[in-house]
Amino acid sequence: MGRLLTGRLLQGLAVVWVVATLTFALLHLAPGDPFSYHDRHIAPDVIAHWRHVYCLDQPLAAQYMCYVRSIASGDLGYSISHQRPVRDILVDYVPRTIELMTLGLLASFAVGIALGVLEARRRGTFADWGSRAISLFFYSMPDFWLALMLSLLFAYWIPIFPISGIEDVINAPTFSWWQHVVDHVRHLILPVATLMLLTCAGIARFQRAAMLDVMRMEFVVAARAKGASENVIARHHVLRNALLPIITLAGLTLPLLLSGAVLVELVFAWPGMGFVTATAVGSRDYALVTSSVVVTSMLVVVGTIAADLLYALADPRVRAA
Amino acid sequence: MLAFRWLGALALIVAPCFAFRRYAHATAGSSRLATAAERYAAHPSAVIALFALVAMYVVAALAPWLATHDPIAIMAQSLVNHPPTSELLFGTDYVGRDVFSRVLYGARLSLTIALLATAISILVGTAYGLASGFIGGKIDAVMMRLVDAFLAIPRIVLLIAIGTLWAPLSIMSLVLILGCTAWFGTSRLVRAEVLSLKERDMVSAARALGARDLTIIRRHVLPNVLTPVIVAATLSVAGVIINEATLSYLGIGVPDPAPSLGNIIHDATPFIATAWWAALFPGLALVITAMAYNLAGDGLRDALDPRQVDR
Repeated sequence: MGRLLTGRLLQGLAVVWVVATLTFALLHLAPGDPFSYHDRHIAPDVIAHWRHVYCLDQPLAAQYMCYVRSIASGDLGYSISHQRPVRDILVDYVPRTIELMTLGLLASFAVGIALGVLEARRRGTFADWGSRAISLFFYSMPDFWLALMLSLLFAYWIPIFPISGIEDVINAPTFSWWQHVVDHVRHLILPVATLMLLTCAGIARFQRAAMLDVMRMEFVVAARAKGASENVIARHHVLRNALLPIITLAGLTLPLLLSGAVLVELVFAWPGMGFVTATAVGSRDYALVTSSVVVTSMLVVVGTIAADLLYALADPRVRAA
Repeated sequence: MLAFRWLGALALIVAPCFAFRRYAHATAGSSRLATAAERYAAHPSAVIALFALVAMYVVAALAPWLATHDPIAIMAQSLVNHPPTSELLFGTDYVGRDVFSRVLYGARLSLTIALLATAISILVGTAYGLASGFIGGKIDAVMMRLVDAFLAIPRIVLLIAIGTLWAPLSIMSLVLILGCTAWFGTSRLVRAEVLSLKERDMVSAARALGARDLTIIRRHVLPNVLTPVIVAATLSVAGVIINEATLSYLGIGVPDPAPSLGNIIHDATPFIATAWWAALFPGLALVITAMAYNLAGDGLRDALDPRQVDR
């Protein structure tokens, strides 16, 4: 178990290092750098000075060493577009994305598992067919379009939720603490609903298949022969065994959710990682882009390892192996 | 006149679907292809998906004959953000262009880009997976860590980064970029298949007979890898269509005034509260296409892979 974990962690570290190098290569291969805009008010020697400060006047290999050295010393660099240290920006923005992702993941699993169980129990009926069709319909939607349509529906036509942002900018200063909480939840509902609708179909489908697999097993037949009611069988015999494999899906859903979160953050102006990365790329803010991409990949790697561990903890057969 | 053209298109859509169903029923069991067709036709949802796909492609291919207006011509000032009417089926956009015609032409561009990009990604992914799995050892480990790294970056972040850094993308480079960022999953799939195929007796036998690596790959590995690859390709077209639309929606994909399903929505977004039609209809076209590809992929999986139990 311990060796499994160390192995996975080392592998994850290697993956994150490759991501960092890839991002570095991508940014530096692209034409232009943060100081390549034309402004006749800035003297060429000033620009040359700043290029020197950021190691940009050196050959690529030297720049890479410069980058590795600063990362290794724990200094993530200084963001040119935000005029703040990258670490401070990440401290502000990463928790917001993690909040969105965690709630999205939980909602998606709750709805996905419920739908999967319902579909398996009503297999072949109209409810099964309809539920699968509707969830596939949402699954096939472009993330940004679903976000747009939800905001059109629930923020413009039926104005019950705020259109965008993280808090009510105008009234927030006068709010008491519980009004802040209510306001925050109201801002969360549409983004989380978008993420949930986008990903719950995959989970429902997996859960349905797992339920049907278990339903064929002999102990279910035995339970039925014993006279256990269908409800008891479904809850105590089938669902308990069919919930296990779904844990592995958490690790696989994470990249999908992160991708979705980028667009959801952009459409709902949710100030998180995706929002920051997408805007930082435009201003060639090397330090911020590399750090945020690396942090994103770390979220994926850690999430995958956590899902594996959870599975190992939940299933004694895997734990022994 | 236009109505007749649409009737002709309808015939072109319906005919192949009915031909397929007849073929599937009439020739059942006579060949591997016929068996697969029969298994595919047994899924009503897959047949509907096939019908939807044929419809999308016929309409997209015949866009110049079926469009009611010029997709980039700006109409009168009074026709800016005009709601749908019997004349302007999907209304007009913020500069007064007919959204219906733009959706037809946009579907044409989006579907073409998606097909080309998927072809690239399948070729690259299959070659990469074959090489990695067949060579094995340390090289395989390094190649797979690279794929892991690419999969750990959300695809859309990668696309936004590339699209923004090399700012005005031509359509060909857009195809290339979409293709080159979509193959990671395929390469993993192919590698896993190759690893299991490598241990089979037929490969040992071929090697004992003195067959070279390339011969083994061509005769024994490739044909067996093809089935999962075809299914993965079908499913991945849906993803590529959505990625292209996302890039165009963000303004870094297909440039204006050429319509793609994504950039029509991009144009409509600032006016969404009052002129929702320009965002709704291209989005519906996207969803229908992506959903049809997903259903067709599922149908193909059942049809081509007899090991899978029919559920």
